[in-house]
Amino acid sequence: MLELKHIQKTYQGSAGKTEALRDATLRVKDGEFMAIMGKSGCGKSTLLNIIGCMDRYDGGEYRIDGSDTKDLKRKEQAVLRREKFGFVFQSFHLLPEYDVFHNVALPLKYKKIPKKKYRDIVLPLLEELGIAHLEKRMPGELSGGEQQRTAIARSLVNDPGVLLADEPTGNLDSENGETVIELLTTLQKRLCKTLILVTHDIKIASYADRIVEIRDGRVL
Amino acid sequence: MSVQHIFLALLTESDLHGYDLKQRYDQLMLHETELNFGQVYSTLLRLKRDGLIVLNKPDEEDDKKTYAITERGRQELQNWLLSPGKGSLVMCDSFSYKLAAMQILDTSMFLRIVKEYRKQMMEEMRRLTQKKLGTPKGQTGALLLLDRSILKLEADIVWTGKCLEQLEKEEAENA
Repeated sequence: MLELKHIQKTYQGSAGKTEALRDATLRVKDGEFMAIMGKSGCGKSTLLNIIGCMDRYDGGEYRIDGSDTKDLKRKEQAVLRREKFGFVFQSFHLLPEYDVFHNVALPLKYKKIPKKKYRDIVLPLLEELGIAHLEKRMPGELSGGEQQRTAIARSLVNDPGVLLADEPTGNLDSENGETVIELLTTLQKRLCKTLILVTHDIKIASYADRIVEIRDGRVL
Repeated sequence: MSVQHIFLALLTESDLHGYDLKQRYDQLMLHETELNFGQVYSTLLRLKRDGLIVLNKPDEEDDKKTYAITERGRQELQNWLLSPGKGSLVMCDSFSYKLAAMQILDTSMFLRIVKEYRKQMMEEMRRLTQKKLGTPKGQTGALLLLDRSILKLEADIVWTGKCLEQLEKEEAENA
């Protein structure tokens, strides 16, 4: 269970302060698929970064499975991020010098899993996502849809409880976008993951169990 | 009006009982609008009165009444299918009438109503998307029907977003 109460976040830029989040309160149950919808600049990516412990908040309270996250040290935050969350980004964030297999296996390296176990963990995921035949291809040789499937496989390789997806279909055409969101929805249900997805697109948000809107840094 | 024409379309396939017509209608409309038996029989009476269908003689084994489409019924169905409908295609739905009424209300009331509609439409779009996900890929007609409803809702949701921006700006200026 993720619980955010009155979360605030302000960025200090050269042009002055920007209030990215003014009052974000929400609760996400285990196994729920929640879409956070809003226009660009409304604070939805900031909110997702705070949920995924990639960014700190200035005010309010954020509890993960009942534990307060306010005073976590950087190292503790990094461990929590690695163990609890999987990330899917709009621009895939694949390493161009690694093939599909090694891109997906990358988080295992940081978790210090022995290399001989990589195949047993990675191959079933590649099969699940329909990209097993592409395991030796480099990211530059893949379509946008195939790159995003690779990124989804990578987000699942550590078996996280929560998947965080930031505009996962934003760089895809509508047909590939639909395929990717259907795949994410099916995987979320079958693997019993919590999925939090941010999008500006109601078509994508409507695949979720629940839609919340965010406007001017406030969850409505 | 449309129930009558769906019945005529169903009767072009085969002669049917009132009960079968209800079942097939509900299936075609994906159980989004279900008919009650009162509507079924009043529709059949009207179609029969207008000479668009006839009642078959009950056969010996089965005394249920079946209905058959007439040549006039086939012609009426064809005319209906090819006609785009009377008046504007986009301004005659019930939502447009509500919008027309809303123009008389003050901004804060208008804003409240649009917010509520937006919430309801988003929930409806979510519900129909789940229904689409559960519909087998081979059911092209059902999927296209759902797609159309989803796209119409999407357009209205985008529109409510524009409305909120405009109305909130007006309200802030008037405060």
